[in-house]
Amino acid sequence: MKHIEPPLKSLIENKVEFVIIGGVAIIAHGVPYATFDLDFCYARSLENLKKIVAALAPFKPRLRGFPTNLPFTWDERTLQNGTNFTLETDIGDIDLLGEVAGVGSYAEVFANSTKLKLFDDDVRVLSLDDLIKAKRAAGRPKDLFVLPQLETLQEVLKKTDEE
Amino acid sequence: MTEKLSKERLRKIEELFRNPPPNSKTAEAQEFGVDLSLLFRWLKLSPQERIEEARNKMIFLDEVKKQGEMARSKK
Repeated sequence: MKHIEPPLKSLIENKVEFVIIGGVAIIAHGVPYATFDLDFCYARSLENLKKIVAALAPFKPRLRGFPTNLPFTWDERTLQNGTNFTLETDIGDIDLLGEVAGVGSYAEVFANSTKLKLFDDDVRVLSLDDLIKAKRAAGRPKDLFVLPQLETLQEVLKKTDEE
Repeated sequence: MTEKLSKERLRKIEELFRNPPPNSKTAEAQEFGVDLSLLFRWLKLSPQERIEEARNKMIFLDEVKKQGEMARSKK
């Protein structure tokens, strides 16, 4: 989270198809929230996997929570063999999700996503409605804790948009 | 929501936060303990400003954590 700009810029420069989800999406929508990682949902096409590999390689990604001596190759083949990856990198933790519980695949996540201007670029962020669905589906205490704020935001934004 | 919310919209939101309609999500959140004034302050920022402020707070928290660890190691 401390270094959100370099990985974001690299994903954009490499034309990766991705949507920001998780804590950074919560913050971007307007809820004060503490997060330590950058989570994004990505398209599973081989072409996109290659772009992700190129975009994140400079930050030396490896699997989080595994022994450092465990062999790990950062390439598209590794990404093809899984869907969700929790990574640590030289600039912080990054989570890659092929799908979002409560919302669906990348195509569904992208379809409703919101375009926001971040660091001079247009970036796709999980919509507020889908964030609420995802947090309800995740159902962990930390997800449920932020729901009242997200639902308040949804309510007041809808109310003031109609008027 | 690509840029800052308009002043007029913020005024309407502030009013809703000051007087949450009964049985609304806003009223429920207030009862739950959500600080609506903090939420409102955050809403006044652009998405990028929110991320930058969160990042600055995380840097500060990291520094506090480091200082705490250093203080413990000196004991």
